[in-house]
Amino acid sequence: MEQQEKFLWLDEYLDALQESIGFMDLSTLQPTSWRHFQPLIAKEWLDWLWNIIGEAERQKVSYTELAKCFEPDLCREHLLFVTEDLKTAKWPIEKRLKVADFFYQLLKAQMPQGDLFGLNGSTKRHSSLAIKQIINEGEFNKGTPEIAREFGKLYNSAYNLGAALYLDFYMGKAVENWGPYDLGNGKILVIKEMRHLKPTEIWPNVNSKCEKIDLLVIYEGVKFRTDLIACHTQYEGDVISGLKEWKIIIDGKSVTDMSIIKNLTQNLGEEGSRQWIYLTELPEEQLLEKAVWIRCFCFDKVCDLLSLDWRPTQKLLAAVKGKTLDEGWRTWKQFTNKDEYNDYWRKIWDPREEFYP
Amino acid sequence: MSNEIVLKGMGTSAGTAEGAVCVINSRADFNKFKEGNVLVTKITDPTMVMIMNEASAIVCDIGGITSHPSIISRELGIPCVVNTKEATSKLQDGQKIIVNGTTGEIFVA
Repeated sequence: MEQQEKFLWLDEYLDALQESIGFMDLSTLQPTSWRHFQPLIAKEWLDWLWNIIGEAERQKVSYTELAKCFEPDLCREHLLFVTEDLKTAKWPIEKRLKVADFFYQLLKAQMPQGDLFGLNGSTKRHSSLAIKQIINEGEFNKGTPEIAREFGKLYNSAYNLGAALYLDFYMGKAVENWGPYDLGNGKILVIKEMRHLKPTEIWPNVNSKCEKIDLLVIYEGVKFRTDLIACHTQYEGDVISGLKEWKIIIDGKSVTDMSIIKNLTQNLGEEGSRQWIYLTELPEEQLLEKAVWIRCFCFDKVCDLLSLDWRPTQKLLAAVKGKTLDEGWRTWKQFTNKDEYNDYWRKIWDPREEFYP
Repeated sequence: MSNEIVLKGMGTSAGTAEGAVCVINSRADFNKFKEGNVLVTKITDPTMVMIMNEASAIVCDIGGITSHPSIISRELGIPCVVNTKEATSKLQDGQKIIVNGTTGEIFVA
């Protein structure tokens, strides 16, 4: 009974997942999807992750400390990925629950304002006090439609570079949107973080002109929501005329000169395009190896904290040798009926269920 | 709006915009794209960043509310219609259209 209550959060998680990616057309994910790739390495990946969880326990590192090594979106997404892997690899229920609980505890530590899975449309990493401090620090600039358009372009460039660096599905490493933070008087604050834009550890030739962008925007008359995936932003209202104030920090420096921002948009856009062409032209075997590297890189900080090597083991790399993405995709049952689809996937995602692909 | 509807899909980024169609089937088509054109393609990808930044609207054959063109259009503040199934075959370069990203309707301008 106590065990059942401990995992009641999974019901909210399942609802959030269904809303976020239920019946999503994965054919629009390019050049492949996680459901093609991840089944190929599910067993080896879980062993790798289990080692991290075990090491954190052995070293008695708190969830608060561990949580600092991930961004919330990364945690949410990797919870989704791992709950699918747990079923592919047919791990026993005790281990399934332990792995799921690991990510849940991280999310609890990261998101003091709740809505851990975005079911209510928010992704809030900052406490109310932290938001007050951000606003009171001042230095916000006046918004105009022209500036709003430039920020849209900058976001577009960084987003696409992120997709080219981390594949469409490990994007949580690169882009995250936090909010909406209600400021009163019809105003909200949304914080857009674009980060890890120069990961030479996995792409030695990447030539982005910046590593991290923090874009803080205050909208009036605009409603904002995300779902479990924090780059799935949605707005009600006009984001162009609704931009009232803004602040942008590029690699730790506050920037107000729009020519710098335009140049960065150009650089990141061109770099993203170049990187995407390189990525999509990789032979399948190399693409699979690269996907392993990218997935491991999502855990680089926690590995550093625990003095583990984040780089993929030979066992992980060997797991994709000679395999194809089609093989991975054939793991899953396909549906045309939405209710059947949702029923199938909820059972797959739920670690409490003895239901396997 | 009394204009003739030429296509209907899923509106995923609200608002309306008018512009000339530019159908992009491959990277070789990028140089024909002009600022203010409506980008019409099967589905957008990161090589299209720079033309997306100059588009007045985006129309795609496939996609959903969380697909690449939809997410980007909402950030750019331009209308987007996806899942039209036949935009790339039905719309012609230079054709003037109105894209309603709220209703998913595409009209002859």
